[in-house]
Amino acid sequence: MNEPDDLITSALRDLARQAAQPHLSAETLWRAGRRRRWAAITTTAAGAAAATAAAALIPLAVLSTPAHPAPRPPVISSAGTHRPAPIQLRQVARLTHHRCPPGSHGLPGTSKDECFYLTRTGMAISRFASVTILNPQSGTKAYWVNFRFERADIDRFTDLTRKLANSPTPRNQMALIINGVVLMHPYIPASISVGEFQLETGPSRASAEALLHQVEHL
Amino acid sequence: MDERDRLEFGEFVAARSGALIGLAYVLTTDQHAAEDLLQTALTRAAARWGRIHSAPEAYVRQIMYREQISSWRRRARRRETAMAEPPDQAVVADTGTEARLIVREALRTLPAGKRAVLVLRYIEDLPEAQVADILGISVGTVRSQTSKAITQLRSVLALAGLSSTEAGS
Repeated sequence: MNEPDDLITSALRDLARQAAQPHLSAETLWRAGRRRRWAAITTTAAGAAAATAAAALIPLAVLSTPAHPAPRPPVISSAGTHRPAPIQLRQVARLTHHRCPPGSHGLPGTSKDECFYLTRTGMAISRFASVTILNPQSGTKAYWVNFRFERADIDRFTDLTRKLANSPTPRNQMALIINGVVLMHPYIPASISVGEFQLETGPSRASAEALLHQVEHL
Repeated sequence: MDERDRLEFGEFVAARSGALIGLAYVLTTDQHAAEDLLQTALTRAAARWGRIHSAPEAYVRQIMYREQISSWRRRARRRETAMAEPPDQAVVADTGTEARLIVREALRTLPAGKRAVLVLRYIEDLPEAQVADILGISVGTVRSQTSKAITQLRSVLALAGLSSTEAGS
C-alpha cells in the first residue's frame, strides 16, 4: 500500500472512531422488523368497528394503466372494455432479496432489493368500496388501514384467503400489488369472509397515509 | 423458532452495533444520520432474520451502503445538497496526524457513492468485483469512482500544501 492509500485508510478509520456508541433497543428493532415482515391481518370486522375511524374515506379512482405492468396481469371487464386492473391480490410463490433481473417475471417491492415471484392464484379489482385509516386502539400504538371490498368481490376474496390460509410458507402470503409494485405481503392465518381486511402499518400515521396515498392515486 | 431468532438477533445487535456504528458514521459523517442508518439496516435484518441469520453482518453492511447511496441520491434530486462548512485557512503541516485530519475533512465532502467505494476498498479491503456486487454497480464504475475520489483527495492535499508524498512522511 502506498502513502496516499495509507493516509486515506488512516483518515477513514479516524472517522469511524469518532462515532459515539448508539443506544439501540434490540427488542424495539426486532418488533419493527417483524411488523415489516408480517404486516398483520385481522379476520373480523369487530376490531375495525371498535377502532376509531379517522375521517379518511377515500373514493378510489377509476381504472388506470399500471406504471409497471405485471407479468400477464389478470384482466377485468368494464363496460365492454378490457384493461389491466390497477389493484391485484396475488399468492406469493417466492421472495428474493435482490433487485428483479431485467426480463424476469418478478415484481419489485417497496425496497429495491426485493423481488416477488407470484403464482397465478389471485384476484384483480378495479377499486375498493372504501379505504380508511384506523387510529391505534387503546393499549396499542399501531395504525391500521381498513380495506372494504365491493359486494361483487367479497366471495372471490373469501375463496382466495381460504386457499392461501391452507398453503405452506411463503404461499400463505398475499401480495397487495398496486401499479405493479408489491406494497405489502401479509400472511393469511384463516379465510376471511367479512368482506374487509385491515393491514397494520406501524406506529407512524405517516406510513398509513402513505399507503392510503398509493391507493388514492391510482 | 421465532423466540430463538429474537434472542439471536439481540445477541447480534449487542455484539456488533458498536462496530457497525463506526461504518455508518464514515458513510454519513453525522452521528444522528449514522444511528438512523444503522437502525434502518437492523430493522430490515430483523425482518429477514430467518434467511440471513447465518451471515447477518454482511447483509446489514450491504443495506447500509445501498441505503446511504439511495438516500444521498434522493437528497440530490430534491436539491437539498448538504454543504460542508468551508475549511479554515489551511495550516500547512507535514505531520501525518495533521495530514490525516485534512483528508478526513475532505472525505466529508465526497458524495456518498464515492465515499462508500473508498470504505469498501480501503477499510474493508475488498476486491473491485466484490465492491461492485455490494453496491450494485459495474466494476468499471468502481474503478472510475475510486480514481475520481483519490484525485479529489489529492487535490485537497495539494491545496493544503501537502503533496501526497509529503503527507505520508
